[in-house]
Amino acid sequence: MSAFPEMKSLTVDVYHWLTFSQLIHFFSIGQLAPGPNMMMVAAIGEWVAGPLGAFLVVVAFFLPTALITFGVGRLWNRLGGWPWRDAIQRGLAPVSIGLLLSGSLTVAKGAVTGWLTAFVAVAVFGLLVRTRINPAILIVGSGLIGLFTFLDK
Amino acid sequence: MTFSVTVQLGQSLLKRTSDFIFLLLTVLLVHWLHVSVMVVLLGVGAVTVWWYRPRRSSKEAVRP
Repeated sequence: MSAFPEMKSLTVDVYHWLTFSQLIHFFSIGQLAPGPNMMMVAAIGEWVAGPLGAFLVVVAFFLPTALITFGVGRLWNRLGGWPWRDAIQRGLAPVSIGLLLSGSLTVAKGAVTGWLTAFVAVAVFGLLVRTRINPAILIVGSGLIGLFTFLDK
Repeated sequence: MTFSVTVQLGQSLLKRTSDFIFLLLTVLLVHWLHVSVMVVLLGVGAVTVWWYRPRRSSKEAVRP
């Protein structure tokens, strides 16, 4: 999710592979599908360069991250008494949440386009914060609202 | 949905005023100024780690 603003910038603004609304659609489907929500990158790769594109983008997106996470995870456990460990953990928290927030704002910019979408966004946010509802139900429900609104026009 | 995850994470991880300042700085750079995520992560990350660096006084306070 933190990579979303950069992904939008590269796929929409720089290379023009997708429109912003297509990217938002891919993102929504990625949220609904099982597994990591950023599996949406496979759909983007497929859209741009077919099955090979999908394969390459999945490898490029997940393999380095997985290897770095694996390496850092192992190292992290060994650095239990290192005084800088706490500083790194403490220091990177606001940055990573800031990156997540930037991703959310970028999605919101493309997805919240009127009163109805704003209402759906606020309602979903409220339900997720206050209840333990399955997010998939909210995505399908929001999709149905969108479908009926679209059919109505 | 992503915003709710962000809020829930923020509630548990952000405690000091400086945390919120660094968060806003990150959002400003990435969302409004379109600076690369990697540059922000390394640049602001380095500043925040330095900000929360281990200090001699806190180390001494821990010692019995």
